[in-house]
Amino acid sequence: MMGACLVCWVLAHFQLDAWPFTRYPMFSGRTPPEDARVVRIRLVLHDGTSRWWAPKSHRYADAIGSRLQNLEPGMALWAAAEVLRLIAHDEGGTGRYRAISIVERRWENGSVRDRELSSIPVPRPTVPRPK
Amino acid sequence: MMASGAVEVFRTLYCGTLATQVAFRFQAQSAFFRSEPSRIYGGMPKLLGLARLQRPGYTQFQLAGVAFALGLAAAALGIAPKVGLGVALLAFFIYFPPILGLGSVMRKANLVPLVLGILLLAPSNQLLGVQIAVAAVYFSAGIAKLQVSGWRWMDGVALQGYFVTAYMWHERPLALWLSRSRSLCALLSTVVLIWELTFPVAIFFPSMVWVWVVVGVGFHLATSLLMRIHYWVYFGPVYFVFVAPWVAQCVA
Repeated sequence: MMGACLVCWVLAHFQLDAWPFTRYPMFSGRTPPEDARVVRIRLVLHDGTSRWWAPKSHRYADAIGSRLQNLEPGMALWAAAEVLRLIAHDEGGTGRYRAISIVERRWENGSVRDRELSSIPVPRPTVPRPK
Repeated sequence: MMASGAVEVFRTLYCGTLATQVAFRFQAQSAFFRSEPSRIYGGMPKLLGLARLQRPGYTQFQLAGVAFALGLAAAALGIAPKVGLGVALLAFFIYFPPILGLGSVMRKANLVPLVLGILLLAPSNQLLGVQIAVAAVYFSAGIAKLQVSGWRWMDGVALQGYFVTAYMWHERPLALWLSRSRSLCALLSTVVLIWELTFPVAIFFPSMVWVWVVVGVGFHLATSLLMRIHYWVYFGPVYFVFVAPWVAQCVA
């Protein structure tokens, strides 16, 4: 038992990862508010209104947003495809949505400033023609 | 079934709470499994950093979840507790790895196998072992802050940044309000870092441990409200280790 605890301590001290013994480096950085930046997904509905994407597992939004921090070519399409897949999983379909908007949020002069980085139209579901 | 010693009290409270959590969240966790989280979070983890675990099929995953909950329930009720703990420990390594991306699981469930292992295998001093494991988590978090940012982490800027980021993610007005006060953020971050680094001290002063426990509960309440980081589900029950001796005394 003490051996297991010793392993736990050593991994903690040397910041090693050996699941399920892991380090806890979250929130250890020091990013000033003016450098804070997040990338979120906004869903545009057919009536023109929009809302933030809030999947049932909210960490999906964080994880995909984090991958979009450096918007490399192809990432927007990858993100849109994954978001549509997860919406279909949560809601049973994507027909309510017209577009997926990738929005960068920055903190400027004490308030949030939003800027759209990319907008990807949601493909309409194809209905098979009757023969 | 009356739990007599502090270890039995802890086992009952810890295993009973975990079993209940899994039972209540079983459907949501199964839905998460079906959403193919590996496409976003990557593959299965390597056990002890050595061998990559195999992703179970859906039926295996569900059976492991049932076995985990039933094993814990048996341990909590004192029905063949060693067998129950062993079953739960094995089932953990099938049930949890595929859903590590879930907000309530992530690193928050990492202590579960260690605690179950201590309860199952340690010949004595089980509660001390669990307390050391808890202290190691907080100590690790404190060390990481010092390694990455140094003592400047306490000057309030880091916490202001995290509160602003949390606001931009989750629109929590309280996070925004707190971010506007550098001095309040400095005070809070000083308390957090000192609390994390000194948590091992609490083990040596059992009569003072309530100070660290109260700060800990406040800390997790704050991260839950402000940042949607919920440690209650799979990490929170380990706090019973600090109240189990007191409960055992009351029961006796």
